[in-house]
Amino acid sequence: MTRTRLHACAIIAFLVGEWSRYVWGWRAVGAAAAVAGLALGWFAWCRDRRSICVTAASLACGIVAGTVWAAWQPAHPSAPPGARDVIAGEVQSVKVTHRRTEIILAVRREGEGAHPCHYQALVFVERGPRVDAGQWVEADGAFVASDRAPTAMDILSPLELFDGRIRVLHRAPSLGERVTSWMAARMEDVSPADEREPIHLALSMVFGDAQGSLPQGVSSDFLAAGVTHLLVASGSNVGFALDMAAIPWQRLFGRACSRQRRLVYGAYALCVVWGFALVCGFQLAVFRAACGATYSIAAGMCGRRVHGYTVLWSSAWMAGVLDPADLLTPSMLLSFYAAFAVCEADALWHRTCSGRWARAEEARASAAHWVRRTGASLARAFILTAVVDAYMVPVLWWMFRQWTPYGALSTAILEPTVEVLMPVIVLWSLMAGVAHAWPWPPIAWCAEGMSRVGCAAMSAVLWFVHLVASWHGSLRSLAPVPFAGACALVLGLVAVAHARVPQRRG
Amino acid sequence: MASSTRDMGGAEGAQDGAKPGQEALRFEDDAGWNVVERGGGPPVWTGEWMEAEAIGHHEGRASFFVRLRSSARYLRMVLLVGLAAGSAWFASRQVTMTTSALHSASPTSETQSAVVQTTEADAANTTALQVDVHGDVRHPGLVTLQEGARVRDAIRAAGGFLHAADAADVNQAALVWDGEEIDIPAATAVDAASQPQSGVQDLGLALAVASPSGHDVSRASRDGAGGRASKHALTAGQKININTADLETLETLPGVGPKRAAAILAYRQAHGPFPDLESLRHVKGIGEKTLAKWKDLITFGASGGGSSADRQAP
Repeated sequence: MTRTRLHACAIIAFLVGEWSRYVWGWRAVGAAAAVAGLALGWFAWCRDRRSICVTAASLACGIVAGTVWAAWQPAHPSAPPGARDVIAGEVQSVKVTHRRTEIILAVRREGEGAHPCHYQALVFVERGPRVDAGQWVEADGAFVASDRAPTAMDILSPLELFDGRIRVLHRAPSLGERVTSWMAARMEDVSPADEREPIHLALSMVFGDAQGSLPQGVSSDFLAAGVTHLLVASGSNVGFALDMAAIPWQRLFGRACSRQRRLVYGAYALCVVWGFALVCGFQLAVFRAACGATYSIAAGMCGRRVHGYTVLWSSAWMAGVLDPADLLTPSMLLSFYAAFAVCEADALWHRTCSGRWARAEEARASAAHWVRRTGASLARAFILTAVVDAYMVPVLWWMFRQWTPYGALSTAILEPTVEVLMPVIVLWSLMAGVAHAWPWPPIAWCAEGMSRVGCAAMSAVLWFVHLVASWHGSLRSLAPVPFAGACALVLGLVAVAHARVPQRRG
Repeated sequence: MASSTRDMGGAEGAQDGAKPGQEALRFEDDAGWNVVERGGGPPVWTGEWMEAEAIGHHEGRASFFVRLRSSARYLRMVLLVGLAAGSAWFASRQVTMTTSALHSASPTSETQSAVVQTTEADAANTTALQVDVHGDVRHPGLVTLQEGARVRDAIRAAGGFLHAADAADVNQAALVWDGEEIDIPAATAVDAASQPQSGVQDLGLALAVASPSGHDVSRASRDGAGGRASKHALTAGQKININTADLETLETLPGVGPKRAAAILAYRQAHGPFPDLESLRHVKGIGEKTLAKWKDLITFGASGGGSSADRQAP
């Protein structure tokens, strides 16, 4: 067995052991151990002692880690269904139905003593104060036993049902909220025509829309155009933060060639990555991407380059160690799967057309070549996003029963645009901040100019998204698909991507 | 990256560029198709060179596999996207067929009724919402939406607004309920002179007509039986006490139909009187735009203490 496969095997064994012990207890550990036993039996059949040892040790470590987590922050309520209980946590989403409000709550405290815990609850509220995502609330009531058969998502990410009343807890805003609010206020100060929507859109593209500050119409337009990922802080945002941080470093200290410089630059990059994650409020996608970036940076500090799949595995392992309760929540699953889809699309692209397109990109710079090169880049982006979208279809179908046929097209156009706009947004917020701190007229004029440019660019993005969202059939509802069906479709796609055409010689 | 002689033509292109004396053949990775370069010579796709060899020695016999292999790189991308898009299209078509079956089925016979009931049961299992959208939309009628859908989705499913200006009068962010009736009013900015004052209009259109003074607002809407009836008009300066108004009085407010009036009443009964304009936002279907229109038309006298006519002079 190769070293890469051995590492993957070890990580899977660790995560299975930890997650099953933490979330579902010892009985699940027994089932996991039985499955692992099959794998160990296979290794024994192959006389691969190293794999047996590594897998068994990883599984044992995972079970120990899960036990520690379960003792520290239980993943299930301590009160039985029907008994009065008090839970507190952050509102994830709110859904108002005809008779009641349904709130998804990330529960972090439970009981009168406010013991730490870590699970999600669906709170049913008949009446009470209006709450929004991001607020902290306390719910007083009782857990309710569910009377329906658990679905695959219920098993992967258990959701406790709670019926009661809520009250809003007033907590000091987090660092990320304070930073984004301050930036939004400064950008509104220099905005000539009180344009809040473009400002919040710009900040959402950099830090994500965790506070739900964007109007519903804008969010639904992005959803229908298939570019919701642009409003969510994700791995690409972490990469952007690293790129931006590298600019002043290279200006001041040059490229990190020597080992000592690599180490210092690695420490600096790690600070940037986790600082960005802190400002983003440790949203799950950013957290996973930060884990992956940490591994890449660490490898870079050692002078090694790592493959995309290796980063994916390592980020899964780090996320599992640091936050096992959220390992298989919908957000984290989507993040992992999206990263996998990007790796697959990239690998498929390199297997298919890298030679031809590299030759096209080597062409000398002239107007005609520039136009061809831009067209080629757009076409490449479109093909890659089409493949990524194809991979995303089964998961989005299973989770949300939605399909956005124009998603690849709008992503291919908007993603490069947003990449270009990111530095503009950063410069815009910086200028607004400087203009606030030092109200010197030339600086204020520059800030106002940046504001005009930024608002115009964001308005253009909004217009384009609205245009795509208005096309017929931009957001299609799909018939429900079972988990097994979604898995089968994923396997089908992977099989198509990796199938070998039989070779016939001589 | 080294340039490659690979061409869409596959084996032929490789044959043209291949210089066997300069390249070292290497066969690795899953498919063994790597660019190999040695001694500054032009790199070739080794796999294709081997294919070219194969063609040279066994011309015609392996041509099918050679062609398949050379086009497989592109074919698999097309297949991948086609498989995903095709399955999603098929699933979306299933939803559409369920919806159209619901629309087309007329419960005149027992058999048809049974079909409709079965289909409805299926729809209920998939937590789909049936909403009746009419008024200023392109394709009025029943639309099927997913749970958690909003008015915007319903309008989009009904073909979108008939006139772009209609969007100004609708709170598109409101959540929709199963069985809800959504009436899209025509734009309020319609020129008063061009509109009939009697409120007679095309079937299903609710029209907001401005009086010659430009301040009064009256609203005409069809009644439940499909006929046309003009509602009470608010004369200049009159205001409605939102905490004492009954269903009919509430319907005289712009943008309020029977559903929304009932929602206001239900919320008032459940939560007590509305203290201010902002508190009305808690009622389902009422947003910023609606409140802006009501600002000068409603008052908030205490419940029970209002006038019997439910209308107060300013």
